Amino acid sequence: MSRMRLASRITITIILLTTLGGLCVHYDTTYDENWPHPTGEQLQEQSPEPFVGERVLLFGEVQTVNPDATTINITDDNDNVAAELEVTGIEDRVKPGGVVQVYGVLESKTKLHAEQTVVVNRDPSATIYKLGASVVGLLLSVAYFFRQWQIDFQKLAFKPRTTKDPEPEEVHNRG
Amino acid sequence: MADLLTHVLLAYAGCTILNWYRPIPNHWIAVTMVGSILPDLNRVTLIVSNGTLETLLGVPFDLDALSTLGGAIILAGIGSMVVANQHRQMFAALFAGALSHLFIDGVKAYADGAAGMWLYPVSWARHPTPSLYVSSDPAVLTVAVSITVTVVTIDRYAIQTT
Repeated sequence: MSRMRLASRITITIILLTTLGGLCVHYDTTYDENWPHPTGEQLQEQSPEPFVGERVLLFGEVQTVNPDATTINITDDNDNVAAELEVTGIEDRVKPGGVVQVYGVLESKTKLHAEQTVVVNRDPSATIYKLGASVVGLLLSVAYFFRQWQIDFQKLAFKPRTTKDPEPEEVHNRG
Repeated sequence: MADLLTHVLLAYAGCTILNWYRPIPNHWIAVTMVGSILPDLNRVTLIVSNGTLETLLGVPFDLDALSTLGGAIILAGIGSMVVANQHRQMFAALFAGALSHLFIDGVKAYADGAAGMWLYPVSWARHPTPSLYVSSDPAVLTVAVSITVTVVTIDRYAIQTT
């Protein structure tokens, strides 16, 4: 694929964006039947009842931490609480506002015994750290991109800063 | 997902190593770094939830599809249209960055020992994960920074390039 007209690029972009939208629709439509564990949507629609006795993996936000049990909330796509569970067997240190993965048998509509636990975020500060590091990464990549590329307003396209030629000759010009 | 700084640094380190074998111009390294953030565009849901998007569009909709193999291919395709030529190189650099992101995410911790379904739409399979890390652990970024510093140091002082 060599030089492409602006109209062709816009047409292909629209086609690809539509395809991407279709992918998001198909993914959501078929996710629940392919994910081997209850989803927040299923818990919201059916309550945890149909899953009692099953070994499930759930992601939840820690609400309260007591010596004998930890309470977690599982949310749906709208961030509404779909289920509140009392989880036993969490040995790692977590605080309210943290996020955990729990894998174990759902003993009743409100109780789960965790055989395996992963602490995703120990407390809200862990979430802030992750977001902060991500923002730095985003800014770093965008800044480096604009250091290497510039906008060609005539063609409405990006072009490398180092060359005017479509086939760049420059090979190793580490700044 | 690991934090984006980890993904971007490891993409840079990976390109630097590849550069020892086959010269990669800096502007393609920059594109690969941008590619490494593409799968996390699903984090738009921090601003607009999937539920809100579903209500607006009137159809089921999940932006997590962007964080899969299919999402990476289409996003790299869209990205390859922002240049007037060299679309194939642009696609390859963006896709390589996105793929590195998906590989790194493929070894993160899941309590049931199986990774996320990132191979979609090729497969819904969940391969076993060694559960190497959780993203909020600062050790992940520490390792990424250490690898990058080591690679850059070797690149500057030990590698002879023409």
